[in-house]
Amino acid sequence: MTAVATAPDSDRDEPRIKRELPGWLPGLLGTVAIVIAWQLIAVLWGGEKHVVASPTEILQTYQKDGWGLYWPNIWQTVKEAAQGWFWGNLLAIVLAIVFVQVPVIERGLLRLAVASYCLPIIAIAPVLVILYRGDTSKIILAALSVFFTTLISMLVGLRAADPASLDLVHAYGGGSWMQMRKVRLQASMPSLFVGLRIAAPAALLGAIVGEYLGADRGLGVVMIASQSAINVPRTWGIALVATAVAGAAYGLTALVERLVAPWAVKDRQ
Amino acid sequence: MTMATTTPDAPIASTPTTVVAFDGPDTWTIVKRVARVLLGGLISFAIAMLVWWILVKLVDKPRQTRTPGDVFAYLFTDKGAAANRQEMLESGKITLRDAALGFFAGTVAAVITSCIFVLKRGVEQATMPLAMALRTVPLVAITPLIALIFGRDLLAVTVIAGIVTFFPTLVNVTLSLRSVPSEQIDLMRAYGANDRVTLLKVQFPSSLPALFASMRIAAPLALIGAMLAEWLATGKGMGYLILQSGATFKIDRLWAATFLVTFASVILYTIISAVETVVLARYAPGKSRKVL
Repeated sequence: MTAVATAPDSDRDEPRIKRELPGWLPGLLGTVAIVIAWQLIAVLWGGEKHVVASPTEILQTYQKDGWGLYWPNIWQTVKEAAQGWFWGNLLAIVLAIVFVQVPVIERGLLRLAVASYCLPIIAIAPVLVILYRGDTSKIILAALSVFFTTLISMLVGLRAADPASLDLVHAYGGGSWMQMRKVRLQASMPSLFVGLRIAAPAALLGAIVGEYLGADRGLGVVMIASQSAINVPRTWGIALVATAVAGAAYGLTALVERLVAPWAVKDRQ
Repeated sequence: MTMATTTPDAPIASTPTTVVAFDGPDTWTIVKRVARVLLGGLISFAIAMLVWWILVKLVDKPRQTRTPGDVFAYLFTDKGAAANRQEMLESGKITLRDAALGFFAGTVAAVITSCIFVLKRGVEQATMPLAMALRTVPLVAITPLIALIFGRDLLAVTVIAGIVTFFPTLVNVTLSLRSVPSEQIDLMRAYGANDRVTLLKVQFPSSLPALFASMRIAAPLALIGAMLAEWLATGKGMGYLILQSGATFKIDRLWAATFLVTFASVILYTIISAVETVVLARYAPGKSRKVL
């Protein structure tokens, strides 16, 4: 199986290990330790070639730069990523449904979908930038970045439907569309949401790479600008913001899943 | 699993096939499966060319677009075709070397780290949450930062391609090392094997499918990472060539380079898929890869 489609959840139970500590504590301690180590490295190595900004330095930069620098750029990138996320996922989900209903189409087009995954967005980006002005090229890049993972997750999910339930629908005279509506769509949710969670950060990646090629605003633009200006703390700060936004998008998808399809969370465990 | 057929202290490296061979399919079946993967690659190529052609016709901006035929002409039949090919080859070699170096370094580092994680539970508990978080983050997006830290030479390119490979592989391999059925581990314990031998003989072979799945997914990412780093840091290789062609409006070169990179990416993916098919047949005979 692809790692994308079956990416397991973080908190799996290990019956063999006795746990005295709550599960999140070692992780938290580890993260704190890494942040402290980071601070130390930054301070000790900071001398001549100052390339590692320390956490405290980054926080100071945030304070100095203020909300006004970050917010419009975050908003711009998120706007592009969200639109790409929407169209890429919509296309992937519709196509997955078509594939399951009409297997002949799948045989040909699935390979093309694989090619779309192999298509390096950095290679296609200049072509798109020449073809389309403004946000469109970034939206297409974001859509391309999410398309394949969602398609595969949705396909795996639709195929994972319980055969007995499918037979039941069939026995009552339901056709394949009825099977799709009554059984498959619901069965696809656990797998689909795994894909959607990965898709959220991936869409951001597509948008940011698009911005590297030239845009007025966006996280990609400011990151490159601060890199070329050798503004070390700000480059770190923006990279951190981009990472946090990606993490937030991932978490938000997980949250939506809990609200929309709570059974999917249970099914996966 | 049939690891009971080997004695606990036999060197695993020389006898991997005897460990699990006889409940896997025979060689002919494997050859057929590999052939199917390769044929699949060929069909993908043909369909991709067709769709490319259709898209170009649909977009209908002849000044900015090139068809597969145009690219073929640029590379083979035009007047300067030999020089064009030479240029592509030089940049391509650099990119391939950069990406491959990072990719292998990342994979090896990830496998070693997962083994440490499995042997030292405490290390895993402390750092795995962070690794999980980093896996979900689009690390390619922070290439400017990497370029800033590691300078403007090969190292930056290798690091970014390596990081992109490292985190997904680490998480997938660690989880699969842990998900070996406990009876198998108990059996090894009963034979008096220590943790390290168990890891080598039972857990590692059964995590090979996960390793190859991760590699297959990471290969195109490593290529993207390497090219982005080439553009932002080193100014060499395909990444730079493509970006520069776009900026200077050398449309023929842009499309030819884009085609070649995508082609290389698909080839890499197909090769890893073929190897993965063999590995799955040996080490996870029940499972076949559902998705090409």
